[in-house]
Formats: sequence, structure tokens, C-alpha cells
Amino acid sequence: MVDQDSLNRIELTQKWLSRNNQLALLAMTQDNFLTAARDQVSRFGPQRVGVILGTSTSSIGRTEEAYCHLSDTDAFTAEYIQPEINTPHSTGAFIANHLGITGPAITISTACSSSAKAFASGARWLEAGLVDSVIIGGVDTLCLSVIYGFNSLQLVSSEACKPFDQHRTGISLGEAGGFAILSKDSKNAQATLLGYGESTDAWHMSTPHPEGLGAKLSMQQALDRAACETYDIDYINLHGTGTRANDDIEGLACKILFADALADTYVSATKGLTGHTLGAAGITEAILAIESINTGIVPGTTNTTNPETVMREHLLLTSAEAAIGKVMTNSFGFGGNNCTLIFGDAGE
Amino acid sequence: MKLYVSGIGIWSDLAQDWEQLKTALAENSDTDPAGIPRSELIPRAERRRAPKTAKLAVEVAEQACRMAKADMSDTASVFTSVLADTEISDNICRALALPQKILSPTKFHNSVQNAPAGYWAIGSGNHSPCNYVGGFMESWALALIEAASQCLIEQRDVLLVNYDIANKAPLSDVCQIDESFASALLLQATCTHKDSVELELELCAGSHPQPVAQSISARTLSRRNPSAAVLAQLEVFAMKTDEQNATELRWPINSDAHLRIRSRGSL
Repeated sequence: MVDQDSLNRIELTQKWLSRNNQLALLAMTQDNFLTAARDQVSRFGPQRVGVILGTSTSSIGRTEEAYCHLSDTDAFTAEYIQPEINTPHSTGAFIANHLGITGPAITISTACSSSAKAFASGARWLEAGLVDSVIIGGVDTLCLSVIYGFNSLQLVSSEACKPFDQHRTGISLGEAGGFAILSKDSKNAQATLLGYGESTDAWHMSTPHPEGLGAKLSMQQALDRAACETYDIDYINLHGTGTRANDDIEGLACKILFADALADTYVSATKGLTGHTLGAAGITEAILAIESINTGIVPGTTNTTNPETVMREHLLLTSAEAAIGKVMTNSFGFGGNNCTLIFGDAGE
Repeated sequence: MKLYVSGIGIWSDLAQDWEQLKTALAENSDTDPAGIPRSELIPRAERRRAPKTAKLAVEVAEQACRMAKADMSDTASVFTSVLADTEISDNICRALALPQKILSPTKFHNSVQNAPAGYWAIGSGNHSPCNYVGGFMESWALALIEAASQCLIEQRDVLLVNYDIANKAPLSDVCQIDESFASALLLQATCTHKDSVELELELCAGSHPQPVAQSISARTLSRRNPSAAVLAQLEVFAMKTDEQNATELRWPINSDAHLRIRSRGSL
């Protein structure tokens, strides 16, 4: 969980107050992002900058709290009368409002693929000339529905998650907020979004397609858009949640799609470091993947000691130093909603 | 952005398909409770667990595809709503306010905003991208921007589906919704269908109030469900207008900007 003292220091007006929005602003104040985002607004004008925020919970945590304090007539009590908070758009609207952005601002909510899909939409908005720059974000905080919900599905591990381990026992829930600026301007860029893939399993609401059909489709589409072959990918950051089902099908899908190329590709899952940050997982892992290009350090699969069969020979357990040019990152969500992103270095 | 609408789906107390809606708008018909559609496209086992929002969304999406003769299994889709599934939110929040905090796993997986999109994909056997876009009171116009850019950049058919279901206190204090409403547009990048409406979309500066429908029945419905505001646009699509002259509506996307929609032709 994010340190409560840090969150408490983020003061919001009652209109926008929620843990998710506090984490959004806390994340934006890191690494001078707020200044960089404001620079985009002053450079292109508030109407030519867009906001695409991915979140699965948005501010439902605040609504849950409000329900614990209902009046005798079933109304929200004064402290909790916050119409902008009780909608899925809460966090996207908050970011646009905070930055004074008047271009299009949306909140994508497709469970655990939300903030990966924000990159795909952002790429299209730029291509269509709707905006000159897009603030891409992903924010998710823990709330009761997430904790009790994942527990009701018996998907939460009692120990730190061990993605792709033979003895894995489920997910570890985490919180994260991450942001990126997506624009056509390569100056000062940290990476290039080379391609994206989006697909749907059309199988089941909470279990992935048994043959990883949607996963393969989204990876293949991303490769096609990036105009590259499997052997061009240096590092795959897996969705790797630590559940039986996800890791089985994701491993299988990678094995089928990458075939022999997998042997020479770095492959790891980083949720042992971050926990599963749900709607923020896409951007969190996009940032980790981009960092591997820029630092030459490939993160390992923390907590995993005994990889399952399919990934046994491929999974990177401890971090390694390597020259990384192109990275792929997967995000798969409930409803069979999949997204894959491919990044290359800033010069591409 | 220039694109085409070649299919429309609708479920409301005023009409349960496009032909009915055209008559209802022309005759200013009274509303009659329509309930929630059965949505038989969703397989039986899934349908038992499907929330109202999913049944509404699947029904209108299917209608729009059939009208456009579009391949249901090959359209991308963007779903949107003002408040999303308030029945599930209310149910979950009430359960979590009790000391024992017992949550149904089905309600939990149905609580993701992309649940209607998931049921649509299962029902139509569709592996294409699907999305849920939230934009509160400006949801429809913002989701149209998202759907139109996907349609044009990827050169593929995209469904835009909006829905909201009736709610009760306390969520009705956020925005009161008295009856359910859903609509769908099938958007195409090129004009492949002889009956289609051409759309020209442009983002413009300046605040603008939400368009108001001319028909009294549509206006009544819009007051009872914010998603039904889209009827102002659907009404334009139903009008037999001079092919040369575009009809223009301006939809707010926030307090400082709006989306100008110029349309030509009728359906």
C-alpha cells in the first residue's frame, strides 16, 4: 500500500477528495511530472492537450465510505455529497481539472488492462490530429470491493505473489499511480510507442481463454503494428499475476507465438515487486519496460524460485544487465480484455 | 473527422428499435415501460448472471449491427454511460457497509465497467478490441470521439454503445435516473451502405449547452435518463433533410469546449 502519510499530505478540495485522486496527484508530483505536464499545456494550449486515464476502481472507495455514513433517509451525508466522485470518470476529470486541460478527457475502465489501453487510445488521438499531446495515466487504490471481491473469487495469495512459480497461490493486491506524456515530439522523449494490440477473449468474465486466444491476438497485433517479428523483441514484461489461470495461459500463448525466439528473449513478471495494481498495472509495467531500455537493467521475477514447466527455461528470476532495444508488455483484465504494448528507444 | 453511421439500436420506454423510434418521435408518442430486454444473443449460462446494463448494451449493439448488416463478430466497440452500473455499485456498497462484508463473486466480476463489453464479446463471438469510456455527463460525446478516432485510424467498424439504468437513493442524488435507456451507433470509416448518415466531427473552443431534442417525447425521456440526451442527435438522423445541407449539433465535452457534429442524410 502507498504510505498513508504521503497521501495525507495531498490536500484536495471536497469536490475531488478520494484516495484514488490523492494518489493521482501524489504520482503526478513525482519526477517533476506536474511541471512537464503543465509545460505541454502552455506549449500547445489547454484545448490541444488530452487526458486519458485508466483505472478500474476510480473513486468507488470513497462511495463505499459514503455508504457507511448514510442518513436515515438513505442520503449521502454532507461530507460525502460529491457528484463528480461517484462516477467512473472521477479520476480522469480530476486530472484534466487540475491541469486546466480543456481538450478531450476520458477515463478508460476495462479492469486490469485500463491504463495499457490508454496508450492505444492516445496514439489514435494523436494520429487523428485531435490533440498535440496526451497525458496518459493509470491510478488504482485499494478499496473494500477490490479486497473482498478478489477474496470472494479466492484469487488472493496469503503470501507475497510468486508469478509463474509452480507453487504460486494467487495475486498480491497493490496500489499505484503512474503518468506519461504521449506526443509526436521526439525531443526529450524517453521511449517510442512502436505498437499496440487490443483484443477480447469472448470466453468468460473472470477466467482467461484456455488456449490464450485473446492474449495471442493482442501480442500479434502489437507486433504487426510495430512492424517487427518476435525475434526483434528483447524483453517481455508479462502480465504474470501469480494466479494459476493467468500464468498458465500467458506462458502457453508466449510459447506458441514466440516459439524458438523465446529462448533468446528476456522474460519476466514484475508483480512480485509492485503487487497487482489493477487498472494501474499497464502503465506501471510500461514504465518498468521503458526503464529497462534506458538503464540496461532487466527486472527479474521477484519471489519466484521454481518456475512452472512452460516458462522453466525462459523466466528471468533475478535482474540482469543487458542492452534492450524493444520491449513488449502485456495487460489482461476481467471480461477477457487484453492489451499489449511495444516500446522502443527514443530514437526509433 | 469524417465517418458514417449505418446502423442504430435503441431500447427505451419510448421505442425498442429504430423504426419504432422514428414513429414515436414523429408522433410524439407516450412512453410505455419496456423493462429490460432478454438479449438472447448472450448464451443462457452467461445470461443468468448478466446484469441489466449488459442486457441493454448487447440488445442495442446487436440491433445496430443487424441494421447495418455489419459482421457482429468483427466490430470494435466503445461502451459508455453516465453512472455505469448503479444497481451493482449500490448492492456492493451496501454489502460492504455491513459488518460481515460478504460479496458475491459474480457481482464482483460484473462490477467491472467493461462487463457489458465482456458479455457482448461472448454473445457475438467477437475478439475485437472493446473499451469502456467514462465521461460523466459528457460521456456520449467523449466516447464518440474515442470511437470515431478508432474507426478512422484503424479503418474498421466501431460500435458506440451508451446506457444507463434506473437508480435509487443515495446514487439518485448524484443524478436521478428514472428509467433505463440504451442506444448504439454502428460507425464506418467508408460509406459501404447505401443508407447511411455522413458525420463530420470537429472539436471547437467555447462552452455550449447540451442539445435539446425537438420532440416532446424525446425531451421527456432525456429528463428521466441523462443518456437519453442522445435522442437529440438520433432525431436528426431520422429527419429527411436536403442531402446538400448538413444539420449541425454542438455537444459539450467540458465547460470550455464542445464537439460539433455536422450530419448529412437520414436513416
